[in-house]
Amino acid sequence: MGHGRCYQLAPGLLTCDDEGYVTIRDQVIDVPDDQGAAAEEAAGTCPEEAITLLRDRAHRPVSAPPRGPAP
Amino acid sequence: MDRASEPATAASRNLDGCPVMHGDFSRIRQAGSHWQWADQLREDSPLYFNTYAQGYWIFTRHDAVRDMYKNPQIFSSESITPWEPEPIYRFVPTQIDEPDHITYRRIVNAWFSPRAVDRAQPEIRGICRALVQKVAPAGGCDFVADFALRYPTAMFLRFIGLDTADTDQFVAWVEDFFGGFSGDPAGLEPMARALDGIRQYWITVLDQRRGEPAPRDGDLASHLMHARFSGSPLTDAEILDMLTVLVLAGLDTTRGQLGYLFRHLATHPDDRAALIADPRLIPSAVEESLRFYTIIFGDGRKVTRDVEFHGARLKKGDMVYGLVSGANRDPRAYERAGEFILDRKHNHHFGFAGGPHRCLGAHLARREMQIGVEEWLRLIPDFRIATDEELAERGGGSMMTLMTLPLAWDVAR
Repeated sequence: MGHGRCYQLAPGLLTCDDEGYVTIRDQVIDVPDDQGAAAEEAAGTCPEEAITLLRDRAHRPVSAPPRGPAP
Repeated sequence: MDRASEPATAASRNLDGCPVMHGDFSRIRQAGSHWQWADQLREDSPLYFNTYAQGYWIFTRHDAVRDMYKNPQIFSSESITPWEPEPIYRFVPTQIDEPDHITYRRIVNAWFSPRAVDRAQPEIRGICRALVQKVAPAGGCDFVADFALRYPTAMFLRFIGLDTADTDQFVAWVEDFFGGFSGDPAGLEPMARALDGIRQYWITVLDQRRGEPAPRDGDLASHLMHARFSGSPLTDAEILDMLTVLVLAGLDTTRGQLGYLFRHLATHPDDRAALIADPRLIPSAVEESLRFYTIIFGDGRKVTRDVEFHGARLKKGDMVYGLVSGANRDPRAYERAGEFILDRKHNHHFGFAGGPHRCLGAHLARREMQIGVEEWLRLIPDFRIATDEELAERGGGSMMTLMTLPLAWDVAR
C-alpha cells in the first residue's frame, strides 16, 4: 500500500518504485544473514501485515514474501 | 439543524447487546482528553453504537480498525464522516472507491513518492531553517500559529510549483476552513468563504495554464491538466477537487502533528537530550508521535452490504467509525502501549490510515517533521511551555490540533 516503512527500515533488502510501492510482491526472497534484524523490523512495522518471515530451525528469518496486489 | 436532538435509530436496530453511547466528538476540549476518552472507550468495549446524528457504529480496537482498512470493498469511502453519510462535497480521490480510486491515485503517486521527497529535501530544509532562524531571536512564539502551519504551507506551495508569496493567504484559508469544519456554527460562514477562496485561486491557476502544449516542470496543476484518466483528460471539476483536497488534507494535519510532537519535546527534556545526542533517533520519534498522538481521532466508512463484522451485524448503508487513535494505543497490539517510547520497534501504527487510501502525503509529512525537529533543536535545543493555563485541542470531528502552543526559550545575549 506504499506506507514506505519496509524499504525504509531494510534498505539493504527491499527497495521502492517511483510511486513508493515496494518492488517485490507475491514473491519469496532470501534474507541474507546480515539482514535478519532489518527483516524482522520491516515485517513487524508494516501496518498492512503484508510481510511474512519464514524461519529456519534456529528461528532466524530466511525468506520474506511481501504480499499484496499490484497497483 | 441540531443533529444532537434528532431521534436516534438505536431503538429500531437489534444491537445484540452492544453498548450504546451518545458522543459528540467535535467540541474543543482540554489537550490530551480526546485520547484519554479513546483509551477508556476501547478498554470498556470493542464496539459501540453512537446515537449522535443518524447513529453509527464505533470499533475501538486495533484488530477491527485493521480489518476495516483491509476491506475497502465492504467499507466504502463514499463518506468518511459518520455523522454525515451524504456529504455535499466529494473529495477526489479521497471519497472515490475502486476501481476508479487507484486510477486517480496513480496520477499523483509519483509526485508525492519517497524519491520525490528526497529530491525536495534541500528545499524542505531551506524553508524550515529560515523559519527557525526568524523565530529563534524572539525567545518565544506560539508554535502552532507561527511555525507549525506556516512551515508545511510554504513547503507545500514550493512542492507543487507555486509561489510561496501566497503562504499567508493559504494559512488564513486553512484556519478559516477548519474553524468551521468541526461544526461550530460561528465558523460556518468563514469556512464557506475560505472554500470559495481556495477554489477561485485554483481556477485562476488553471486559467493561466490552459492550452499550454506541455506540462510545466515541477508544476502539479499543469501536470494534472496534461494527465489522463483511462485515456481521457481530467475534467476541470476533477482537477479542482484534487487540488482542493490536497490543501485541506495536507496543511492542517501536518500543523496538528507538529504541535503535539513539540508539546511532547517541550515537556520531556530527556527525550530532547536523546535526540540531540543521536539525531538518528529522530525518524523513530516522529513515528512514535504519529502513533501516540494520532491526530485522526477516528476514520469513517460507509458499509456496502449486510455483513457481520467483529461482533456487529452491519447493514448496507450503515456508517462506521474506526477509532484509529484508540487502535494506535491498543495494548493488544503494542507493548507498553500507553508510553511514548522514542526508539519503539515494530511501530506498525495507522497514523496515516491503512489500505489504498493511505495518506498520499505521508512521505512528505514525515520528512517535514524529521527536518523540523532537526532544525529546531539545532538552534533552540532547550524550550518549555510558556503558560500555566491548560492547553486546548480542537475536536475529533476533523483532524485534531492544539489550538495554541506557547513556547519559550532563553536567548543568548
